[in-house]
Amino acid sequence: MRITQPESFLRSEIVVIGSGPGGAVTAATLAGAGRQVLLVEEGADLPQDSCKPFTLDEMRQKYRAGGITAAFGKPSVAYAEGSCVGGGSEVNSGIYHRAPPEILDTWARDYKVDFFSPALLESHFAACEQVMHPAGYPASLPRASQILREGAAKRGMKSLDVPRLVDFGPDLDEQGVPYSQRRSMSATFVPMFLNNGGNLLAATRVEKLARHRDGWEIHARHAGMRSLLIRTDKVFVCAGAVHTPALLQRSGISQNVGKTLSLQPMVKLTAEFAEPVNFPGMGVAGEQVSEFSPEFSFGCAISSRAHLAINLADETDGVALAVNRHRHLVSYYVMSRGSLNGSVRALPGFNDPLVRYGVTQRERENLGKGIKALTRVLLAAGAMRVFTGLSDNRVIESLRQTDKLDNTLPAGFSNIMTVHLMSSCPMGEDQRKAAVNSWGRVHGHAGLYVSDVSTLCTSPGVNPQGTIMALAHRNSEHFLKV
Amino acid sequence: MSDEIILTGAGGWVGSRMLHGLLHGLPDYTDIAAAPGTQLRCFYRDGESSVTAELTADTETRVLPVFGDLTVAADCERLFQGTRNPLLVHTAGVIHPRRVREFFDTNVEGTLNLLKAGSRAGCRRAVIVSSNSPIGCNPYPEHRFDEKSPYNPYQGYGRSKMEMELRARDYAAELGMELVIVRPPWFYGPFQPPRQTLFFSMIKEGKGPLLGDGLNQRSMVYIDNLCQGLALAARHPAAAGQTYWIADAEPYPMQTILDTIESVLEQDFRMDVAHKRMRLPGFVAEVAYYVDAAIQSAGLYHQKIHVLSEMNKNIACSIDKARRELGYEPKIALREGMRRSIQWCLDQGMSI
Repeated sequence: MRITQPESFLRSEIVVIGSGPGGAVTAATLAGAGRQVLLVEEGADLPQDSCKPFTLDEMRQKYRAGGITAAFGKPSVAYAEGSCVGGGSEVNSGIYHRAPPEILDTWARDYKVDFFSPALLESHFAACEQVMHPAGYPASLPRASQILREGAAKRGMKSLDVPRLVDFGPDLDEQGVPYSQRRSMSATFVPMFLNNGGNLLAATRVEKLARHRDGWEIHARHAGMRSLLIRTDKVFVCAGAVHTPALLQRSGISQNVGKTLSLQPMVKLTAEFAEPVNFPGMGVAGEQVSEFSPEFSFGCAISSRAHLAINLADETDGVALAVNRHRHLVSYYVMSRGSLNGSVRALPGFNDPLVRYGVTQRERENLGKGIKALTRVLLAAGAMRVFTGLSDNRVIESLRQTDKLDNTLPAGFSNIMTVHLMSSCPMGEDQRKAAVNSWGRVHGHAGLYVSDVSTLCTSPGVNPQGTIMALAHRNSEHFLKV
Repeated sequence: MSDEIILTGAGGWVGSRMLHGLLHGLPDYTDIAAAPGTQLRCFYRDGESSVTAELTADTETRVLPVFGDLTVAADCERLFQGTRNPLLVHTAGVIHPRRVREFFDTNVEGTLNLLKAGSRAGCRRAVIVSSNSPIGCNPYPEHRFDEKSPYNPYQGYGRSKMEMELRARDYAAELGMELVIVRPPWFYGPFQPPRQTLFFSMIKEGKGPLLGDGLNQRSMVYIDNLCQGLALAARHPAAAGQTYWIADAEPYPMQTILDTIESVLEQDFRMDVAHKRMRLPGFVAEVAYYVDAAIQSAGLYHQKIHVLSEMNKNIACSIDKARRELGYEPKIALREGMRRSIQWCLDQGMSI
């Protein structure tokens, strides 16, 4: 049931805070087992079709602060977070990976995560995939993918169509590629949760958690005004890598909370082609070159008019170019694996915490190498010019010019952004490093759990959503057994 | 009970009494003896003196001592080697260590090592001995803890036992084992360690410490009552996955505890007692609490200061759940229990 006019006092056996991939899977699994669950979401409750995908409307409706948030550091990193029912899954490109087995093994070893291995996670990945069915393009690839694949082949690299969490429709776009719609949380686990008797309370920000008898008391605010008190036996905090640690800190819980933050620093490049390469409704392709993974990878980025305008905002007449020539423009990203070089700290009196991240030398090298390799791939595929975002060598028009590109991104580079933040409450039994135990229970507290991207021990080097969902499924099943 | 029983801490206070009970029954609880033909493996620390020939004479229960260290996974494996679906009764634990770290190594890691090794041998049920300390102190004297009372761990020991309870639950769930947690408060009775004998001597000499008004409530458990609780936790089908407080029928005011010991010494054993108390203001315990906390946060541990810090606290629980679900019924109360304790001390040639 959707609660739109909440009473000022609520009670539920279990409360899940945050409805992104971690929270939605948790809430649906627990409700599916017959538990009484209240799912609380700070953002609005909007259907997938409340706006056109990848537009400015979407950014206004479904991102936190309209998509403008930044992690302080030199250089600073702009980050974007979903803020609506379904969280990040409502706005991302739905690229689906399982975390590489060797990364899972290092987590088990370095953080002492118990009963944790690629083999033991198999059933949890499979359970989520059965709902999400990640899929590649059924027939021909969109032009943006073909460009990457052709260019990569000419440069001796392999490029793959990575599965995405979308439904392909019957209608074809101008290139003969079927239109697709995101299989986000609001299209999958949230309806499953509601069908299983779960209660959803959107537009409600949780300010603080406090112990109450053998359970918890949740102090929240609905629609920015009314105070709510929610009493519960168990709480799952699934508010993402920034807001999960901030909420725990506001509640006086700080051991290994928010002391590490990883993000996958990313830069965007835009290529211009003589012929049309961008088609209305193309969405975002899953094509990726991952042979340098987990250090870095590159692939197709969102190339809607709005995103092109943002990507080209620093160029002379960039916005006009994006508007007038958008059919000839397509954006790609280079993403580095992140380190644990950031932190999240709640500040008294402020809604948003202070987020800091220091981009490391290694990440600048990864990004530098990635920009060079990607620029060469795009030129090999026939691009007229590539906008690199660098202050020198802004525009590259020939392979010869790419020799001038540095192998390391300059320290003052200002266009680093990320959509993947993680690891701010790492899991494991090693109490010197981990904030939560092997199944997400906050160390030193009973009945308080974290089940979201924060618990990933380090960056998996790939899009984390698949891993978040599998972990949430694993934690929920464990919770039901104990 | 199972055909095979693994008993840890068999050289300790509770463990050795439990061993006695499994072999021969206990005076008030004859039915806790293991069925004839049961195989009993007892885990001892390296160098500890193990089960005596005297104890194993006259019984059809076979006893096999195993020596090792709980914190070594291979030792735990060896303990279970060749057993089939044994029952685990885990009484080993550190109460007064030299360093706080030992609490966690033995109480938490040791317990998990046992559960892992046990599950490989097909162990279906594990009974583990926790403590009152994960739950802390009652907010007021009339308050009683039950099994739903929240965790509020008392110092390093309390935190280690809380971690032990929570992680053992996590492990048991993954391993598909029935876990039963038994929480005894302060225990007393035969086989008591020297620190408890010292307590009797202090009372006899008029140095029994009384902090504040002495009306604070303390639950205690006579060791044989506890052994009954452990046997029920091990046998009763309803105990699977549960936690139980196991104590004497009612808590006692601190003053009553001291008065009772004094009276038993004087009337039952005809000793000269000083009829005095070492009366200390309540804040001494508060000071001791902070000194204890400071010492423990430095990773160290001081037994006397720790015990002193608890002297004015209410630590009282209700045994209703164990009564209702297991049929637990403590037959020995303070006066009789203390009489038997003192008798045992004297029988051992100790002087009070």
